Amino acid sequence: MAPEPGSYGTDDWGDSDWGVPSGGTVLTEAAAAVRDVRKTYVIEDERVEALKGIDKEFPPGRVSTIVGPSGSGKSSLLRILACVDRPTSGSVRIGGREIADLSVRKRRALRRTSVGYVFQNPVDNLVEYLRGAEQIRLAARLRGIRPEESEIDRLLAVLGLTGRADHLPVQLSGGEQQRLSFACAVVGRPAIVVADEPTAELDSASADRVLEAVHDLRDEGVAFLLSSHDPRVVQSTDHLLRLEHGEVVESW
Amino acid sequence: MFLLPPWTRAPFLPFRQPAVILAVLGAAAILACASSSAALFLSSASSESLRRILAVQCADVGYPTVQATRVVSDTTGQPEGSRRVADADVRAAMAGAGLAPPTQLRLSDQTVQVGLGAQTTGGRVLFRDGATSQITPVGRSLPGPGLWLQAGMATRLNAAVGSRVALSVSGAVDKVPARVVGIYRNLDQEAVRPYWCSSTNLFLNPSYGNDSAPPPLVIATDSATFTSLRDGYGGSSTDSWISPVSTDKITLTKARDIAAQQKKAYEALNLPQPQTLSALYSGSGQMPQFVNRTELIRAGLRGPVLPIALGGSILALLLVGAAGSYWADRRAREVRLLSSRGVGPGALALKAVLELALPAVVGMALGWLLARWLVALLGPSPVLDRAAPWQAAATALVALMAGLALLALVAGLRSRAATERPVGARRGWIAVTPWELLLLGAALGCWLKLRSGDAVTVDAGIAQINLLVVAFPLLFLVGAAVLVVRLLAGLLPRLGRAAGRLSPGWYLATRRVTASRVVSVVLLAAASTPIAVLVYAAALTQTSQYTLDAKAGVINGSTTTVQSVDPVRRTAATDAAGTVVIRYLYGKVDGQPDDVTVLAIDPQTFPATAYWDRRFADRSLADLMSLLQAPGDTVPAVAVTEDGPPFAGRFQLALGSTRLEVSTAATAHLFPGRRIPGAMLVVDRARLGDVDKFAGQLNELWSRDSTPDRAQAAVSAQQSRIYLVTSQATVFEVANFLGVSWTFGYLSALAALVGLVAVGGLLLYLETRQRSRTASYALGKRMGLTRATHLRSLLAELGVLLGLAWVVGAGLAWAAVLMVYGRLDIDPTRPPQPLLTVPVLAFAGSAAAVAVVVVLAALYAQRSADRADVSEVLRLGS
Repeated sequence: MAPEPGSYGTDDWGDSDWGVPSGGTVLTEAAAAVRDVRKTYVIEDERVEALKGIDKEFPPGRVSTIVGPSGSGKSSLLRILACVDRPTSGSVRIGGREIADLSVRKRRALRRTSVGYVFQNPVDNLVEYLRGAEQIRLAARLRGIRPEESEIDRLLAVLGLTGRADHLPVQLSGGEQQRLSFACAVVGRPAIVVADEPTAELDSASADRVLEAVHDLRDEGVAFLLSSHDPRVVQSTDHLLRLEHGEVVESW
Repeated sequence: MFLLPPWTRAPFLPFRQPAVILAVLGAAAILACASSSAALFLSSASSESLRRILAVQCADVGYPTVQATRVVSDTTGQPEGSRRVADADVRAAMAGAGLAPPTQLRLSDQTVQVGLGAQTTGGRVLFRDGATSQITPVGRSLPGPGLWLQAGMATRLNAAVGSRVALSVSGAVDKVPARVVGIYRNLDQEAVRPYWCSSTNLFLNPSYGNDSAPPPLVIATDSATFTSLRDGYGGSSTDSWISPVSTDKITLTKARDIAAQQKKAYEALNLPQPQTLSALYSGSGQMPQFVNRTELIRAGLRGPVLPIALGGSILALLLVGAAGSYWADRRAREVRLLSSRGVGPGALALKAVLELALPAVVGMALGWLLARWLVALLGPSPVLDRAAPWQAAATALVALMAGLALLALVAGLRSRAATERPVGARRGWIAVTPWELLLLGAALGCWLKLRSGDAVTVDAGIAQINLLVVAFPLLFLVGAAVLVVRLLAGLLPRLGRAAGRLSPGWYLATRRVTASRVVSVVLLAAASTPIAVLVYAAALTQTSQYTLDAKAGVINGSTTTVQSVDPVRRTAATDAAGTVVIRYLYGKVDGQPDDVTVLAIDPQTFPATAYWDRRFADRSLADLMSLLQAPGDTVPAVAVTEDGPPFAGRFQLALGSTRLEVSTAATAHLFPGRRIPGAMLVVDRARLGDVDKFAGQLNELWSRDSTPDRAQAAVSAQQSRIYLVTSQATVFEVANFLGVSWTFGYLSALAALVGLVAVGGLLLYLETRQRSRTASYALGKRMGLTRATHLRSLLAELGVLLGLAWVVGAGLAWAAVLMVYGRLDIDPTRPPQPLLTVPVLAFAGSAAAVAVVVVLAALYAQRSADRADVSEVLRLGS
């Protein structure tokens, strides 16, 4: 059974050594964690080792960023943490639950309840025929939650989208679309929100607004895992994981 | 979940994607057309069979009839089997069966002796409603009851109007007087009126110059007179009550109803239905026999037609499945989003169905209407049973349900693949398994079974195609096409590597084909199948039709043949009409136990008139003619035998008392004019000299004219009596072979339908790849790619794919034809065996269609690329 939204379960991996991020509270349970995760692809009979024993814990209420050049394994790790793909070996925990060996169906259920995902292209994160508030309501209902109108209004306000509740995606700017995407991703308090280069398609001002929104939501206790090449994202992150050729070269 | 907007608003969402609506609408229409066509076609074919059967009959032969034999007024003292049948009872029974008020036809069972004074002559007494107004009076007539005598009979009796004749039956003493109220011209001496059409056997004997005419008819003016005369001379009669019905636009259902009404009337009267062949197959009341024949034709058609329709429906289902894939492609963004949020493929499949159900239903209705329109337009007949359209609609509905299920399955699988398919995942076992080997195995099974059985069975003279003749090619062609295409696909990577040495247009085309290997391969297989089916169906249709014509041509000799009981001399008129042939049926060859047919021909006029196929002999007809005229002391002959020449060298031939020294100049497997099994000798008539006139000769004038008028005139001009006129077109009862040509016609229609499927698939292929094509076009233009080069690359891409599909399809079809055609002898009792005919039109037509589709599709793709918003395409990526 998938855990209740917002509940992170118990950590049976022993003590964690999360640091205490600036301005945050001390948290002892990881929202997500990977241990010795390896991923090998076989493409046209050729084995490609995308991840070579990754260890990392992603605490709640923090923004973690994965950086690295193309082919470093960022997307592979994101897909695993987004419950889309399985590691070849190793352990993956989301909200305290081991997911490495879950079936496709169970991973799908976990994705519905415990993971928020934000695509790089803002327009990919929204249903084209739904208005702002409807987008959030749909995301919540898929997560099994009936959000109060006040909660939707609050989320829109936190993300600077007051007055956009009745707008269709096409009526929003790219930055507004991406902030609305984050509203959809966090509604219902999933264990972790995974975002694949969320600012790559945005101009500088819009990217700043999105990052502000991410940090506002972080302060509400949501764990974010971003992949990015954007220096601003790296500068504002709480934790960083740098990958090269599938191996961790920097982690803090 | 299903009450959320992506599902509740689903029915309205396709309107944002007209291309998806069109794809589903078209696919559903083709599916409905394919699935519903069988019921409509079978009904249409049944109606046309009935129409053709009735067309060669008299108008009233199908009228429901109650016939009672050995009818007397009082059975006391009458022979066993005599019966009383009251006119009122019959009329009540027929009315009770729902039949219209009948007319009456009564005929004396016995030949009645009609006497006047010392003269007597035989005749048959007849009464029929309205008969006295359908004869030509000779002289005056009297009012009131009495008899009309045939003029010839009146002459023999020396009777006149007003005479009183006496009627009796031989061996009886009772005589009954009757007054002659009129004399009519012999019915066999005037053109047969429609009224008498079904009764010609009462006054005509078409065999041998009408030398032996039936007893003349003595026509009673009214039914009461007929009864009193019959009772007076102590005979019995065969009475018929004929109820008129309209046979215009008759359907099998209506014909069955008529037959059932007739049966009901018989049962109500407790009368036995006619059992004798003459009663069953002459006069009116033959509808039950026509129904039986039509049902045989229908049953023969049903066997192959249903699998053909099923095959077409399966192919159309694939197009519906492709439309589901197209939906997943066009709705990829929402599908990916919902899938990333944990929505499973089942829910997404349901969403696809909710979105596409309405266009699919509309498409089904359009397809059903299209099928009705096609059947009305192309036939066999526009007349359908009332239930047929509803059966067709029910079938289309079932197909639609299957289509939506497949569409949902494909959409669900595509949705799952969009998010959940692991990177670098191996192809599934479905894609890797060579399942086409199963089809080829099944085809082999069909072929082996076909080799040990008959490709055509003849039931009551009606040819029926063996289901295997249809099942084998469908299985073989699809299986072999997929296998060949799979093998060709293995060459694509090599082709891709070689592309660098090609010109820009060819390079682009090659890269596009090799980059999307699966799509290219599917398109190749999909396009080759309709071409193969079309060529196969056309080849076998033409082969069977040509062979049937050849059989008729061999039997008849030429297009029309006039046979005379008297010798026919060669004159300018006969030369203008055709050629004179003398047939000796009872030639004797020394040392041969069986009679030999000798055909004495005129070599000058024979080649231009006789039916000939170069496969009848190793030499040309002209060569054979010159050999027949070669000088020498013997009569040169062409020996016609199927199993090699039994007449070697010189031999003695006896025609009656005439003995001839004959030498075999050449042999032929077959020769026009061969009507019976056994050997035949063909000789120059001029070389025979005077032949014993008791040698048993038949005199014929063969003609290429489509009508016998000129030949008849040429024969009649010599005062030669004509006893039989035959034509190549009527040698066979055409209706008996309808099933064969209709089966292949339906198969051809299926091929056209599959062609539509392929074109639909091609459009989906172009649409699906349009974004990447436009993107590469935009980028290519920046690198100097011209519009003309890009268009050439499109032409090359589609031309290579569809051209290859044509080669594969046509090649496989021809292989299948070579394996099957020899078995497809629709009348094995008559030579020749099947003569393979190349379907030039099908080859050329399909090639032209491929070329047209390539050009139009390339222009369409180029236009789409020209019109696309390049910045939008590049921003969204591929």
